[in-house]
Amino acid sequence: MSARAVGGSNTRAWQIASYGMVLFFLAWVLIPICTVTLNSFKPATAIFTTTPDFAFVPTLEHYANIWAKGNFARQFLNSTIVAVGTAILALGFGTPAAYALTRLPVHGAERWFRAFLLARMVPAVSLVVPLFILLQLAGLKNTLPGLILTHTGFTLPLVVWMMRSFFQDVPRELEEAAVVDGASRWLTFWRVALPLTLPGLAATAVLVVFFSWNEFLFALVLTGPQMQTVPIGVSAFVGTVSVDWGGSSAAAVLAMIPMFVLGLLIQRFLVSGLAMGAVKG
Amino acid sequence: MSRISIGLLAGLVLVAGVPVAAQAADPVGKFDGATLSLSRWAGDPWTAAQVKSADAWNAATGGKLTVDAIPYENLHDKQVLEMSNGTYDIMYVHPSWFGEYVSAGALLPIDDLLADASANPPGFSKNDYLPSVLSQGASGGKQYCLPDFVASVVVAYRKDLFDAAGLAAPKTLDDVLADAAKLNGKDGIAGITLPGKKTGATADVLGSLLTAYGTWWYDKDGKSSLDVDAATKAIDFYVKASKFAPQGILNYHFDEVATAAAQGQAAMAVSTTVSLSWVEDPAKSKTVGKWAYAPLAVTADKPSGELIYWNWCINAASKNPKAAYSFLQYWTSAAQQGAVAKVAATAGATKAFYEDKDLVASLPFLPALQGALQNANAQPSLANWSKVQDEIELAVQGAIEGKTSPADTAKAIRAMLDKELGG
Repeated sequence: MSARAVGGSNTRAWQIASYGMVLFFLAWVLIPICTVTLNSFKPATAIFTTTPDFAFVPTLEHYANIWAKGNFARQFLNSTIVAVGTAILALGFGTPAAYALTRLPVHGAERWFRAFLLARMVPAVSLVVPLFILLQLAGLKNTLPGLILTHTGFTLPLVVWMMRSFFQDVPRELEEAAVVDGASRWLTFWRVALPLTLPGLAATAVLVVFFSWNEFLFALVLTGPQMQTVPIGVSAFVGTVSVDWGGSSAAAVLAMIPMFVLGLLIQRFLVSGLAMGAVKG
Repeated sequence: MSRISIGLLAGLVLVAGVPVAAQAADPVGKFDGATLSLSRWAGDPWTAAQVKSADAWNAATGGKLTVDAIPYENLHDKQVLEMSNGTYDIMYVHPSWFGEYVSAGALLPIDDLLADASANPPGFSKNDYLPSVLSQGASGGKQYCLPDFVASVVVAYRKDLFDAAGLAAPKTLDDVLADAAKLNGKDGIAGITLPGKKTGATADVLGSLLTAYGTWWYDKDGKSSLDVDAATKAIDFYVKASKFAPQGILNYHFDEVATAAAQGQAAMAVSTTVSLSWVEDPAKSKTVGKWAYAPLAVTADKPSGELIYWNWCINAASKNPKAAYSFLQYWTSAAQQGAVAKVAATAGATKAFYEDKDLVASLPFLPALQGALQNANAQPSLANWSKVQDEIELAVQGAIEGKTSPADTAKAIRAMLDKELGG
């Protein structure tokens, strides 16, 4: 057998293995989502079967129940406000911070960057009580601004670290040229660096929105009935002696749709944004 | 903790023909502009029924009561966090939290409100409630809460499978084990299913078994009194039954037990009357009409169980205690509980509830419930019971997994009770 034939055989084996891995992880990710989606259209008696039941008569009763009984619409609105508000605040503060620590002569910039990570290292559950007290003292408990501030605190490190990577990818020469032309630091940031990192900004914004949309613990503890968000609405189908699997599945599907659409809409930015900064030097 | 046999039987069985003042269906009082918040676990049909009652109460009184329903797993922590600031006026309190809340001074005594004619319907008195159930919401000579959600642990068995196998209805725990062994694996279904999850369900089942074997966690002074031999037998039953149960029962709460039964995955099920009643719901069950129910018993003449209930209590920091009481009185009335029972399979805690013959006839679980409650202890409500319960359930899980023997598990539980409650 020639070396070429052996090489070809190896390549083919690698291809098969690669496809196998991709299919495995796709199944790992998609099977639960498909199951939830199917369950949302199944009658209650068809959800629990020893072997998966695909031959069922679809029903919209679970979706109808959600809108009839709960305040899911209000929770959707709350989630939208909180996610958008968090993205605006986190990007509004995090992006200039990342730029300043990347480009400006800040003493101990590396240490500052690491300090930002602290907020992500502490388990969220250990911060619930201090945040509860803080927001209560500030009169922000059970308010959407209070939840937005909380989510902003938790997503800022993500924004700072991601945007740092994107700013590092912008050639310094471009900014120096702008400075030579008389632009201020702020103008250099606003007119030169920021436009070049827009795909990265979009990717970061999406991740922030995803986090805020799906966040459960703070939303549960820091809000009351009128300010609850979608994850609380989904969890409300889990009772102490009963779980409405059909209802929770339908609610989960509805909760997924906006994020799925958002992901599709900015897919182009997401891919290029996440690829930015991948190659250095 | 006293046995409730006499009091509860008086309420459940002997009420026929005894005239008791029926409670009015309308809420009492006007509370224009008062805004209240109620904290409870999420889950229908209970939450939906309560939201409906809150709407009716709002319309009748001019108040504005909002129901904050969140998952049970988070309810205790959320209530504790919110206790001091008066966010919640009304709190749904599990027995295992009741002692803790009372000790913390978080609950408002309602004796004055119960005795206040202007706060109650004409002819009402606290004697309208079953004394043995009402007393679970009292501590230190003060009444704090009004109860609802009365239930117990029983065994449900498939009549069709028993008939096909030529088996008689199980009358004792030994029968249950023998029948589970015979039916296990037939047509691919488990012999029995029961909960093993550390969520209170396992403690409820073991508590019912302990009572059946003639012991209890503690005495009337709240001191450890568990008889190790009797507890060994109870745990031994649990372990043996688990061998005929579906895989994964350590993650089974009452809900999963009822679901497995409803889907035809088990020939018998040990669970609460509430959850077992779902096997008769055509919307949820593939085995409607195939079930019969029996109380747990060591000897056939002594059915036993556990009094399962929840308490409705007023937050001591509430700014609207009279309005909060008005809703409690309205919600726990026979009329409201009767309406809930039709969709939620719980029993009320008023005597009048059991006088409604049509209602009683429509509740298939009631005979087994009545039997179980003839010899029952109430769900514990000591201040540190929440922690104790966790330890008990972990120990039972260890026995189910075969890590410890029933005898060693019983000894370990007794030692833990001695340490936590004092022996």
